[in-house]
Amino acid sequence: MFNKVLIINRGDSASRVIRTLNKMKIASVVVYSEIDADLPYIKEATESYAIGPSPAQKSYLNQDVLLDVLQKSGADAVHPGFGFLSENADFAQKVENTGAKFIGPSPKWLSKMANKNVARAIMSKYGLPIGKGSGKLSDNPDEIKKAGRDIGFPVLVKPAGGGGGIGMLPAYNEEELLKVVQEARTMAQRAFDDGELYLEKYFEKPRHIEFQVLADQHGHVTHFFERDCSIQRRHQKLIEESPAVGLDRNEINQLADKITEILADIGYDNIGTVEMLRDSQGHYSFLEMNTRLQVEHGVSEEINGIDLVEAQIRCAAGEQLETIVDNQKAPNGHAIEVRIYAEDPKTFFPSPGKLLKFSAPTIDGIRIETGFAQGTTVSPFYDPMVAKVIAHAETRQEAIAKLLIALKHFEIVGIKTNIPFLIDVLNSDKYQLGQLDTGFVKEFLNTIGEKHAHS
Amino acid sequence: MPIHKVISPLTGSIWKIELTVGQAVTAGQSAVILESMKAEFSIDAPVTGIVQEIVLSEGDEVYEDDVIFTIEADD
Repeated sequence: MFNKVLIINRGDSASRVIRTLNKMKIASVVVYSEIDADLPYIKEATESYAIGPSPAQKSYLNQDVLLDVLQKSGADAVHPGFGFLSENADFAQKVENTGAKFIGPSPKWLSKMANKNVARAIMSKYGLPIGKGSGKLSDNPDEIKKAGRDIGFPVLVKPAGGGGGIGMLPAYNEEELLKVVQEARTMAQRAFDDGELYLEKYFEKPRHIEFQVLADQHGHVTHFFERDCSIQRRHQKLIEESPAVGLDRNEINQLADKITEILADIGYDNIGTVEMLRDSQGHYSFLEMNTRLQVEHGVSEEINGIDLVEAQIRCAAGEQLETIVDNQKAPNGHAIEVRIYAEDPKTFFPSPGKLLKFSAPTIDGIRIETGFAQGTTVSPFYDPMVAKVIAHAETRQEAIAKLLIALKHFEIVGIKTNIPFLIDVLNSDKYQLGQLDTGFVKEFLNTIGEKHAHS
Repeated sequence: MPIHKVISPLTGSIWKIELTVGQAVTAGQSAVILESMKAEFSIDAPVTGIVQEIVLSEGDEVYEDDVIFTIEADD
């Protein structure tokens, strides 16, 4: 087992990993940018290093500085947390070149799954259901139009190296497709330094169903069922739950088993999430694979009774899966997570600032993950997440009720948050009836007559 | 002719300024792109006129209600 782990992340992500390292009696090393110097995770760690200016490019994404801390601290492994360099194959390779272990999938898998055309080709070859796609899109207008016709309109234009919904644009006909391809290429080039695009069939209102997997380095893979992450706004997840409401358990378990088999066949390792879309007729289609621990891993931990960070670390240390995981194969109860963002609940504009007052409730069955404390600052440099609130109960209804109580007992002064919006969604009939799809938030906003204040 | 002050709706930084002083702009034209909390926000020219002054530069920090640029409106 490792002696000391360097965590190259901040806030709640760093705190989450430290908690498990403490339990495993492994020393923890953290890094922080200028603006983060007062955040709680720094005191929670065994050692800490300042790594420079606040913009992430100069600190949390600065590979040379991080490798320098790795050497100075003498850590024998690196945990990337979620976000920043967690899916960066070059960085993972550089870590492994120093002799330390990168706690995540091997650089080979980080690299392959990062290109969505490659990931789609692998999954389709092994028989995972997948909607029609174009593969790498040509520059030639006639070929682009033909690719659109072959799939059938509407199609979705997507960057192959992208994420977070950037450069993802639907097109309903050939003329629109040409225009949208040009726009998406510019955006993809700017955001990901990679203009490669592809087309896939555009589903208007699918459900987002994803599968949590864990793999050792000896060819064994298991899954921890699915999460429904359909409640999103502009491709940013707001509410995640497990198990997914109203689905045929046999069908979903078969799909989870199929995914597990494929990943074992290809020799995938460590941790990951296979994202699928489910259309209104119940057809599933592979979307992409995330090669890291995810923000929403907590809901799977609750219903499976597992510490995924510990499991991931033990897999990375070379242990056998069967020594890490009990063969429990039924979800226990229902878990729902909501993400509290620092944003105006009506206009959704970001609302960074100092937390003049910040207190979270203590309620049985409610788990709260945050990187902040009263008196600290939610800065504009990083993502807007202030806290995650995870409810675990016997039924979905009870979990919703618990979440509502918890959200009403947060006291946050100094920034605006989306708590009022989350409460409205949880209270809505549509949410309570489990009528979920990725168009939910947009429709919800239309029905309450609020307009998006920005594009 | 009235001078319009264009203020920032949020705290963040100036990612891109798509105007120069003296340039004629049309209401609705994209003017400035702000970045905050990993998202981009586009600010459009609120009126048609001539860019009179650009107060902030690309890369600057900006706070809610700070003036970013001014336009002398054609009325």
